[in-house]
Amino acid sequence: MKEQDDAAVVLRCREGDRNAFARLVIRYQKPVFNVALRMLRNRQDALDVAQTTFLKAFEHLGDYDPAYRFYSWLYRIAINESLNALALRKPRGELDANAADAGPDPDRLAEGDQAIAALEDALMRISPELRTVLVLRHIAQLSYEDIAETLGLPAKTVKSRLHSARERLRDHLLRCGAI
Amino acid sequence: MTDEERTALIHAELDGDLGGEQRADLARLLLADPQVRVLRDQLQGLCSRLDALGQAEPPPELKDSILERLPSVPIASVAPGYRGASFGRWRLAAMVAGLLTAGTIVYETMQVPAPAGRETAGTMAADTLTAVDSVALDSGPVTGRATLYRDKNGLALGLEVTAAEPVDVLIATGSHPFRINGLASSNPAGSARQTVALPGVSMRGQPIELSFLIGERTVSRATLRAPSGP
Repeated sequence: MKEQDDAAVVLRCREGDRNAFARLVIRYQKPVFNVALRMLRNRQDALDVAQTTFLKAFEHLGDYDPAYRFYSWLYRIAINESLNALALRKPRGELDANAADAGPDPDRLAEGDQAIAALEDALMRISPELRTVLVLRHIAQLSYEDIAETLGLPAKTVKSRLHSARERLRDHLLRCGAI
Repeated sequence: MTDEERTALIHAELDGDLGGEQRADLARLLLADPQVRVLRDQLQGLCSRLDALGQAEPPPELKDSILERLPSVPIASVAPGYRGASFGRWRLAAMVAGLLTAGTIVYETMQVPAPAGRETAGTMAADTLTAVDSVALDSGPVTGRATLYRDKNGLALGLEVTAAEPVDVLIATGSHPFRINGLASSNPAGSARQTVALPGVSMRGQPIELSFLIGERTVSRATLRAPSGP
């Protein structure tokens, strides 16, 4: 139902209806922002990526193939923008740029907050490639098939990456005593 | 059953992807092997925690900031290209892009043969481009060569690229990000040669990371290293 509605709204956008595009922004700004936030662990960068994602989507709506789900296409732009943002960060050893900025002192965090911080930290310690599938599966709540469509990969590869990503994450959490 | 097969069963359960027979296999494994139970519990807990990661609310002004920056012309006639927008730092990015454009115009050498590669370093006259590092692009959909040059004005990047589709190049220098859009798109043979200045990039031995993108997907990466001195 949502997919059919997206297709209709996209069609109106292509006909020049800017209000229709506003509807897509309202519908997807939160999930796109959250995907970028979990990829980058930086609120300002995530805002920049979310904004650029929608502007690019608007500019390239003419290239969008309605045979695919609109949100897969949109998430694909958001992931690519996030990866570009990561690529432009200065390297800090083995960690992704913000992994070292893990947040407040663990002693000052409540137990639940510590668990969340540990999970966020572990997410930033796995490769962006593995993080991408985790974020699309668990944050955007996409199915294997949707993730495969978003990333242009076979579903089997998505499944294998997802399994590896979970295991790497578990390893990191075990090492820091968060499991 | 191998460890890999056991783990695959657990992941399949987590994703609601288990068939009847697999479900029975997993149940037997869980009963028989405490280590499998531990692994299953850990992965199950991990997935629950990931699913429960709070859905952060974007600021209310995000929507307006997007809508305000939409191009005013109809969508069908908007030329494709990178049109980032500003939450503060994008203003700076626009200035950098302006500098890059100016530098690109100066160094545009579509018709001028570039030096062949690393072996030419130090053999050219002082007022010509001298190759200081070079890397072959020999796998994936983008092939060719990327070469770092220097001359009396500073560093420049030479790209000889062949690709079936237009290629964008992200250049991360540690201080200034650059982007070249639509390389190899104007030539029907899908090949292009372009040399662009890298204004503001110093010669301190730092890596220059190149990411080649087709349709916003990174398809290839390469690293060049700036010389450590003039």
